[in-house]
Amino acid sequence: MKTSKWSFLFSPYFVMTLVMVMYVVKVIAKVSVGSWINSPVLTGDGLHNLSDIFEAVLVMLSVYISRLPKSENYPFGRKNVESLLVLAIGLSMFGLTLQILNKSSIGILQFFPEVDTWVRSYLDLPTYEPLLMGSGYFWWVFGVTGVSVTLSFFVGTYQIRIGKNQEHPSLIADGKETYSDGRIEATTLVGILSEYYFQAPWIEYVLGLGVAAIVANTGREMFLHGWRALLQRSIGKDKEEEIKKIASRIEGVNNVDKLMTFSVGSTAVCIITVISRVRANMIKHVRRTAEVRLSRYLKEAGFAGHEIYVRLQMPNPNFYRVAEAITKKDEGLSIAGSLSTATHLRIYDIEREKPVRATDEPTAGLSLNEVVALLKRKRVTTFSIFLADPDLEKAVSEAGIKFCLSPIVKVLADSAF
Amino acid sequence: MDIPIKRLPAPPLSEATEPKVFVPDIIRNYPHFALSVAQILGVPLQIYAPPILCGVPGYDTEAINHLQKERLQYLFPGSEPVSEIAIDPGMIVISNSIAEKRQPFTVIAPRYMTKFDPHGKKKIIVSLGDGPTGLAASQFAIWFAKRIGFSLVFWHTTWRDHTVTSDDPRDHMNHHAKIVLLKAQTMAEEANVPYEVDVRTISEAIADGIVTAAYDHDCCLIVMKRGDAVIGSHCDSTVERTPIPLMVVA
Repeated sequence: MKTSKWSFLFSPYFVMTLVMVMYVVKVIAKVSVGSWINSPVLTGDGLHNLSDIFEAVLVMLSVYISRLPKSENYPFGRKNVESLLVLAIGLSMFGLTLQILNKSSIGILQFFPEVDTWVRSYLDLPTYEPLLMGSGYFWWVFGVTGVSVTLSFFVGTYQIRIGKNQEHPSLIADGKETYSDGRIEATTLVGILSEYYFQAPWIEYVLGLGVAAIVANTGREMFLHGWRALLQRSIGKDKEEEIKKIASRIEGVNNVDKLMTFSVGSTAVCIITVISRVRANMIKHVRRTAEVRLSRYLKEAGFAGHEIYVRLQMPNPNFYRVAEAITKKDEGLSIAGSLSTATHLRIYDIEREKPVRATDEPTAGLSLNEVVALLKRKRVTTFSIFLADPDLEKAVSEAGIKFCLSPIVKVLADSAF
Repeated sequence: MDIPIKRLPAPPLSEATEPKVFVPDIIRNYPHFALSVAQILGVPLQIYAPPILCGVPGYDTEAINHLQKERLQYLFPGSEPVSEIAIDPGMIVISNSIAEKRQPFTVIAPRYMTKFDPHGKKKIIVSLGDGPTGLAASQFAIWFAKRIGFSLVFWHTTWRDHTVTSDDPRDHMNHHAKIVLLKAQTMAEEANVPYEVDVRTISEAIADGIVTAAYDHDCCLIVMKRGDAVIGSHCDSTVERTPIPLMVVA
């Protein structure tokens, strides 16, 4: 593979180093400016960024582990370690949601002192700290927050892009969290601006509630993604139906017997068993075609990688016996017109709808009842003759054997072997 | 099995040639597949039904034939029983076992399919070599595809010529193979049948190569003609290896 001097930009380790540098700068700037102006959202967000630094280290570690090659003990590799981290990030985002909700609610409550007192009689809420906003602070606060917003959106998008490009769900999840940070910071920025220009700090708290909802939703998606991958949930009924349809369309495949799908990280694993009667030297073609077509579909369905295992299984032999009344002469064989002109009963063993063995039982001198008894003894399930005979049909049917009229006088055996 | 066949000199294949679909056995998937071929060609399906060997009181040969016809019509609408067949250029026999042997007529081995082109792929692949067999297969395939409105894929696999530096497999084809391909393309253009060309350098057995290509192009039928090799043929190997229906041109 050709490498350029810019290829390091696509390295997940470079991306996460950049993320860590960004968070260090943010923590210092936000905590100091937030404490200065008494902005709970800004200070809290700055402190939250401390845990983001630790999280970035975990993402790097999980990327390293997930890249370790497959082994006997880890046949699908170790990509699910990233799902574990995605789950954890999803959970941490619920915590972040509660934090924003708490601070925004306190901010809103202080505009309604009676409700605030009533709520505080039941809940032990922290003291409201008003935002200090004046011309002396404004440009500092605006600058720090504005740069933070820009950095979060830029770095978050970069993380998501590289995460998708390099197939690392933990990088994508962390990128989404960074992007959510950007949203929170944007809310703070709006609050600062509304306070400065309209003396309306409440806008920040109302927007905070909206951001809490968005963060909660992102957290829910991540949690479910990690949960489903860890518990090896199927990749979805609609996708499985499509997989079955694709496999069934392949010449040589009768139908799909079993299908198992799950994800390992962003890799879809598909274990499919198809019923097929193809000969041994045809198996490789059916298997290769299934692999090619399913991998094309899984790629289109958005999976970064795929592992496809195709098994071919012969259909159930479905063994049974049928019999024909035949006339056997020197000139050849034909289906007998009636029992009186039949010379033999030809009894076939059928497997997979194909005659595999036949024997001839002479009928000369046998009465109707003896013929029926012979059919019963040979465990025949279907008996055929060319012309209709009500007595024969009644006797055969009463013995629990299906009675049929042959469509043509050509015997089955003539072409079956 | 011994089917009475009239071996009369047949006129060459032309646009006016009327197709005839014949099935020797009403077992397995044959009649259903044959019926769908007959339907797509818009001709009746002929089913081999020999005469009854032992008469039955009250039923003469005509009555027996009438019964056979009635029952076949019920089972396979649009079919008719025949007790002998005459070879003509448009005749297509449906049978896996017959396709495995050299025959004076065209045979389709349906393999495991119960219907011709059940998924509406409308694409046929023709195997070309550097001799006249590929051209004969192309001629029949063009006639067949034109009749049913299908498109064609002309496929050729070539050995790598180590004196050629190009990566394009066409540059590795020998002179005769290039002429055959060009002629096949010209015939398709003259007949107004759409086609694609797929030339690959050999990477597996030729029979496996054509099956792989047929799957890659999503074709519903492979068309080949048996050559005059002293032992075996690509056609024999393909019959053994393809789960996709194969037409062996007479």
